[in-house]
Amino acid sequence: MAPEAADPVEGSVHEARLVEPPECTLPAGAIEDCGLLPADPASVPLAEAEFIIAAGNGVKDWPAFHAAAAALGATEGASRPVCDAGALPRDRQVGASGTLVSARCYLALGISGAPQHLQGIADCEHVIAVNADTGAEILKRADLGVVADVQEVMPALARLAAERGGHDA
Amino acid sequence: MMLDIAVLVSAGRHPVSGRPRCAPNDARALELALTLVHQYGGSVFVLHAGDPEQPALPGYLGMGVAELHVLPVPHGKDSLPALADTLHRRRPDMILAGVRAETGWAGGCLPYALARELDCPIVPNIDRVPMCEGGMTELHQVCPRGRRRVLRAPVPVVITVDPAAPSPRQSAFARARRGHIITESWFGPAIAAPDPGEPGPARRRPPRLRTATAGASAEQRLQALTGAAENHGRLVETDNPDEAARTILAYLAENGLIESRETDGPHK
Repeated sequence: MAPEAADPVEGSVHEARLVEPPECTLPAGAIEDCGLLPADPASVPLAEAEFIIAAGNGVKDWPAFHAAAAALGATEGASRPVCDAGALPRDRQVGASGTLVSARCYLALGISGAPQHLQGIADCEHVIAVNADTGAEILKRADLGVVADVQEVMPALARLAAERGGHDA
Repeated sequence: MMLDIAVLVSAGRHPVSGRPRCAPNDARALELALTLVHQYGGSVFVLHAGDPEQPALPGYLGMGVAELHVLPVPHGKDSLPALADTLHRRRPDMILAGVRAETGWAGGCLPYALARELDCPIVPNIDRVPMCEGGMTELHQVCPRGRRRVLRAPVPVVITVDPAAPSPRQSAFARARRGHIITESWFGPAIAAPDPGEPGPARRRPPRLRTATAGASAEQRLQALTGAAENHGRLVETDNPDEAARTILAYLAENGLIESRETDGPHK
């Protein structure tokens, strides 16, 4: 090798340089996507709802039920006896004579699980049931069954769900 | 801003009685147009391609429009050239239609073909138009699971109205009698439309049972159908309501059904 000569630098050579971003304009006639609106769980039709909290004959404390639904950000549903009694409107009825739902999660409170009701939730991915009766049919269908008093679980559920940050409804 | 809205309406057919009626999707489009014109001012141009004597058409007049314009496209001919010619000359700000017709070919392609002919964008499945100002419209597009996507599109634009849009107002017989059906002329080639075939009654396919249930009782068959007999779940018995609630929330978080505690950000 000749004097004052050296081997070429190994590796790559780097330089940090500011680059002007290219001009970006929307072409004329372009449609701009401004993102998704959050769905209002209270107004979503049952058949489209993702997370349903359903009340059965075991639910007596309606303010607590509505509070739990709001805290969890869930759509309200009901069994036939509840709709017959007029506690919730008919379009909230889940089951063979109501809506066949396909929610990802179905939380059944105080629902015993009549075959017609179970038919309505056959397509649900996760079923959670709270019932005071150990022999209730819905506990057999449920992925998580909780044997407890529904009237006491609902306020606890609302309080704990609100504590953990809850859901922006 | 004065809006000029064109609404494309088709003849519907009642699914049970088979009587001619307003196509519900097109009636929703007309309802949306009437609402927008009430809000911003302007005019609604109701357009139908087909038979001017079609008995379903007065139903749209009964919703409160004075005139319905009909392009007399012969039966079995494509209505696209007639619509494109008329709308090209008129150049409305918005062209509204239902997602698909109820009779005939009913493929839902016509708005797309029309948008291509008129060289303007198309936005499908819209249920609300909250804003329309300064040559831009804001649109709410219907997405699965009850969600809505907000889109901004320039006018002129072709919009198809989703069945989830607000229901159309009631059609009044007297208003339908007072309205006029006007036959328009148009220039363009008469292209044969694809034959939609003969409509026939649909038969529902019987649901398939999950298990072979020969000889089982009715209750057992229903249980097999609803999955009640399968028990893979966890059962928790507790007297403490807080523990029950915590179990439920833990299950929900575990399966990603609500935001889990670890990923919870600050309160929004």
